[in-house]
Amino acid sequence: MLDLGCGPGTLDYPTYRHLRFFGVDQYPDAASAHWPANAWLTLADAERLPFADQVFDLGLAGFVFEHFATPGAALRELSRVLKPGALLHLSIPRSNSLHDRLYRFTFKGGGHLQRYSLESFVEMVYAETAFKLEGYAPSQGGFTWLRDVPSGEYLYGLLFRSFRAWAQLGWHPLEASDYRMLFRLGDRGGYQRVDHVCAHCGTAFLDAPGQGTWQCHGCGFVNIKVPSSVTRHLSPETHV
Amino acid sequence: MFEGFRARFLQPPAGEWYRKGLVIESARTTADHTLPRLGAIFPGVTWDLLSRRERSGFRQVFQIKRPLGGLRLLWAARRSYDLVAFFHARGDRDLRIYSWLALLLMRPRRFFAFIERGDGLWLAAEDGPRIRKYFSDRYGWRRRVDLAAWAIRWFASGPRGWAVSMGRGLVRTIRSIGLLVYATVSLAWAVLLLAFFRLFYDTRHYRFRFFTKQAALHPERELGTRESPAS
Repeated sequence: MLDLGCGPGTLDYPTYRHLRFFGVDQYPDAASAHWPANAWLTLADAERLPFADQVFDLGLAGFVFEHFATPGAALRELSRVLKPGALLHLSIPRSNSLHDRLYRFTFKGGGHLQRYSLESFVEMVYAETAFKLEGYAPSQGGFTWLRDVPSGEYLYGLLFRSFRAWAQLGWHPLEASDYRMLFRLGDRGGYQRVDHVCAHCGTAFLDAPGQGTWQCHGCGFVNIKVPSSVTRHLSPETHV
Repeated sequence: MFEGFRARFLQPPAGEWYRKGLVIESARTTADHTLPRLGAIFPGVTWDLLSRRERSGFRQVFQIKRPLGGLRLLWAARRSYDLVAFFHARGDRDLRIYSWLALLLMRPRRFFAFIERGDGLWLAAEDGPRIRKYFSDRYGWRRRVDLAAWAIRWFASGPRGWAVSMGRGLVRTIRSIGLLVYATVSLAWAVLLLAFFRLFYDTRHYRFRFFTKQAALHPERELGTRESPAS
């Protein structure tokens, strides 16, 4: 199992004695000196993994892709070292969430070089690799980074009580702070973007002629066409 | 003195007040084990069922074949039942239609029973008297023709009732305002502390910037020169 951006260890390695973990990180962590016999640490860049092709059965990348300067290259390396059909568990923070904003505010960016939403991240994965999304789950922010500041426990309690009060008032700012995703490496990459979906029957089209409106070929319903200036990044294109 | 009053109006004995009931059920959301519990809550009642599924344990089962398929039944039997119970009125569009139609059309002799969570508190057998009282108090609009019940309602809806409802509203408003102030102040205080750490705390070397000698106290933290803390 490949643990990309392992830090002190993403999982409790001794619990999974039947697995062999290969942790990869750019900097050593003090905890890695106490890792069990089934875990090894490799210091390397994610863009150039020092492993042969198709050697790992599982991949794990927890909250690292927002730190990469070239996440596309890291994704391609992951698809290279993982076996066909292998699973990849990915976690990213939603950059618009209050949790991630507080983190970046406190640590002056905190090394988060990328800003992701679920859609933009999946779009990037599909454009770069043959990974296909099998499932995802939004999760609340856990404020684990407060361990790195003085009186972090007090701050955590303060924020916890505050957000609990906000929740009673109907505001849930910590909802969907992070996304946990499960990908499976397929045999074919690329995707086709569908940006015209009939509002009446739901039929999807890659392109629709016409200026202000377009008529559905299936049901004849006349849809309003969104100007391309609004959906700049949603222009009809095919990545194969 | 009040025993007879209580027995008659507040805790009506089952089987004397109502003997015939109709259950309107959502076949997609009601668990199989919930419907038989009706017998514990309303003992002595013979139930009919309006549903999409064929079920046992009922005198008659009227199966809905299409949307609004049970409309004729609701109209024809609008005065035939003592009580009408809705199961899981939320979450099923067709059942909501039937609940509204039943409320508009039907005139049960006693009351409607809205049982929207049929597998929990509402169907515990020991809560039967309390549940019957709740239903009869809240939905027993047919009882308004009864002078005593009407007097109770009139008393509760008078100035005292207004005072009680206004007091409750005031308490809720004060509570919401207090909660809002507490949530805002605590969040602002937390953000202020984070801003302080942003200005004066060096997360790369785990020390305050104005205590430069602190680094010597924690040499073990200098092992990894990480670019950023774990997020």
